[in-house]
Amino acid sequence: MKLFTILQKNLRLVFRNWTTFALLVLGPMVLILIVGFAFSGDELHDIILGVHASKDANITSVTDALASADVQIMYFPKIEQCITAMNHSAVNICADFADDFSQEGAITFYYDATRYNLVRYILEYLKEKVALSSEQVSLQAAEQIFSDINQFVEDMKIGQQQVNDLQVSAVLLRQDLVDAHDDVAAAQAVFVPKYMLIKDAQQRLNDTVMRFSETYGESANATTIITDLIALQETLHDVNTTLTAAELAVSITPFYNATLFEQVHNALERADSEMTITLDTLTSTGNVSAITLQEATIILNQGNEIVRHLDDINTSLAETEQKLAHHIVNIDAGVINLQGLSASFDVYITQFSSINETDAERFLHPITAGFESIPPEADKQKTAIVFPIILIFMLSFIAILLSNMLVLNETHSPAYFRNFLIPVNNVWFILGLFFTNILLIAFQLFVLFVVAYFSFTINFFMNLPLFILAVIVAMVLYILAGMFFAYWVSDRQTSLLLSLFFALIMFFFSDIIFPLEIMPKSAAFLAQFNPFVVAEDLFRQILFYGHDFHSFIFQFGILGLYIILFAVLVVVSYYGNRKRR
Amino acid sequence: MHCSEYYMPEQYIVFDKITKQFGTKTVIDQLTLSIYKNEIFGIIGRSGAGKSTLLKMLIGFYPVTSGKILFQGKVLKGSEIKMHVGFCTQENSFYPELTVHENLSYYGKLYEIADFKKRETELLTLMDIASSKDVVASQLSGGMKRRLDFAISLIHKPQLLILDEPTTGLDPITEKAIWDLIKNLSSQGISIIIISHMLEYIGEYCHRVGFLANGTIVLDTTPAALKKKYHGKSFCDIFAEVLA
Repeated sequence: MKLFTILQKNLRLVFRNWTTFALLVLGPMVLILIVGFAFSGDELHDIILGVHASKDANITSVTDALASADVQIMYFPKIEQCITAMNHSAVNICADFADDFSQEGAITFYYDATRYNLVRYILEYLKEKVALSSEQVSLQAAEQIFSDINQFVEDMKIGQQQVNDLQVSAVLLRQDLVDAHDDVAAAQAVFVPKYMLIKDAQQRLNDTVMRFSETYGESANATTIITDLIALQETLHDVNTTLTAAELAVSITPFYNATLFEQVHNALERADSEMTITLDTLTSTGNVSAITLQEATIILNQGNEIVRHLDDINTSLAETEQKLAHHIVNIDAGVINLQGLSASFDVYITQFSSINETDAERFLHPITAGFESIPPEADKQKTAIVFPIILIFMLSFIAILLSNMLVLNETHSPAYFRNFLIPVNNVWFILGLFFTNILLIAFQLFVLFVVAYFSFTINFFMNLPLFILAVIVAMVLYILAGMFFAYWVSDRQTSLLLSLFFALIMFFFSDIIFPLEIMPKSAAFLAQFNPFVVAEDLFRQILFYGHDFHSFIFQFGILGLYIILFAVLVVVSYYGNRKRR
Repeated sequence: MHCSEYYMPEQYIVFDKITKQFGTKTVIDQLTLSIYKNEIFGIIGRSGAGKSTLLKMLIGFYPVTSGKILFQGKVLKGSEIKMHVGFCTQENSFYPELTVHENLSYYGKLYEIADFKKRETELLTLMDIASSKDVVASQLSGGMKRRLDFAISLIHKPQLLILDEPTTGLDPITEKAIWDLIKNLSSQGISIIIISHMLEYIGEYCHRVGFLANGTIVLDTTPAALKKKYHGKSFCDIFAEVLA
């Protein structure tokens, strides 16, 4: 019962005072909600990937794999420009594609090691994407290569067989053509002498007819003409037989001209027919003296007709012989070409045979990713890398709590009321406390810097004036915040707790544990204006990259606005505190 | 010689129909009162009667809602008032972590005292704390702390000293010594306004007494006149009867 009474009294005390209630109950709830809000993300977003590649390099497949809705690609003409942009936090990571990327597939990623908590996420992302991309490229390449090889081998086999067949066919064909040519030449050899004889006979017949008509009865030797005609007719039969054999040989080739052979055959048949009629006429006549002029003229015309046919035969045979000779030359040239083609197949086969086992690595890992930290010695300075975090953490907590306590000590001092009785402007009392805080915290930070210089090997001298300015600006901001809470809330414990909550919220709502790029976007948007984040970014970039002032106008601008805000709040809350006296 | 025997015709401070409101609440209502030079004026009133508000208006800490406060016939600016007035609060107003000298030096510099060493010596002697000059204030006795507080309040040679419950928490012997010191200060030409519940001392040491009730002075008289009017009664009984 007594315990219950004490418990009841304690709870009543807690809930009676709204500030105590707010800090003990609502404060932790707000803190939990804010921390939960900040830590509820797990996907990278708003990442800018700087890319440098030579103009000829085909990197589309890789950049497509690396890019996403939350990862933007920004191209740089030089990798140094990308790294400079990364040092200014304009780019999160730089990818340098090697000049021979298409052959070797080498990419070097440069990451800002000073953002140690973001690095882990980015490297994981890149490795995953690169591996995926590499695997896809590897798979596609392998499939394509194997498919090409198989197809090529098949094509080569078929092609080689075709060539071989063609070679054999060509040789056979050539032989057929040679035979046909020989036959035609033989036919010509047989035909031409007889042809010349019949030409001579025609001449003689013409002369006889002419003489017959001139002398009216002069005898003519018709027997000789009949004998010559019979011999010619036999010759025509031989030629026809020879041509038929040649046609048979040529008919299987693409050079076969049926019309040409048909014309020759027709001419031969017509010549043979005309010759039969003439012989019949001459034989029935018997005695040439009995032939009338009219009959002689008819015989002469028949003879002339025969000769015209023979002329056609002679011409056709000559053309056929020339064409066959030309075809033989073409066949010879074709065979030479086929031999060249076969030789080129041999070259391809040799080339494919030269692919060796060492190329397997390139097939399996077409993309090789290297990772380089910026600054390069970051791996050796892990403690140094986290120094900006340590600095802003210590600075913020020391400054806000110390200034809060100092102001509370002053406002709770019995002497405080006397400040209002002295003819001194109130601003001097505020400034007095402010500069007291500056001195005390500056001394503590100086000790920290000495330790850091010798233990962490932090190089403060890269841009010392700017670093000091940044430290002072951050210190002023947190001192003013602590002073504000002290003037605003008179109760010591409440004020201290409020300051502590403020510092904790700033701490948890920063990128100390989770980088902004992992937080939910709305949380990240707010957190980027968190003075803790801004100051940490400022320290990091100055300490590790030594940029000049104009690079930090945004950061100094944000902190400056906070300083103005808190300065106004300090003055307002000072007068509010005074009124409560 | 008791304060009731003095005659101080020269007006030093005049409260002319002053009113102070906090929101809708009227704490001081049309109050008119005069404080004379070299006078010890005691203000008596119940808790919440507006005593502290009245004094804070006097030193310029609270602006008056209406009316005016005249210092030797003039309305002064805040910084001018502060040079005229010394104020000792109920709790000592100095830094307990500093020594007597450090406290005096601090306030001496803020008041821009020309010859601080001389003034410090005067005050240490006047308050009888010279031997404790280098003692940390928190280690002083209650009476010594009060003396130090008086010394700090007087460092700029104010013409008016306001004492809010100056003997609270002191033992009877020290109480008496502090009242004697107050009397001594008055004899040196300083006007003094005292708020105290030590009614017997008020009756004994003050030249005049003002009874504050409902935001105004309901009775402004001398202790001698009170005793004459309420003959035979103790000052506590008179106080209770007047404010009833």
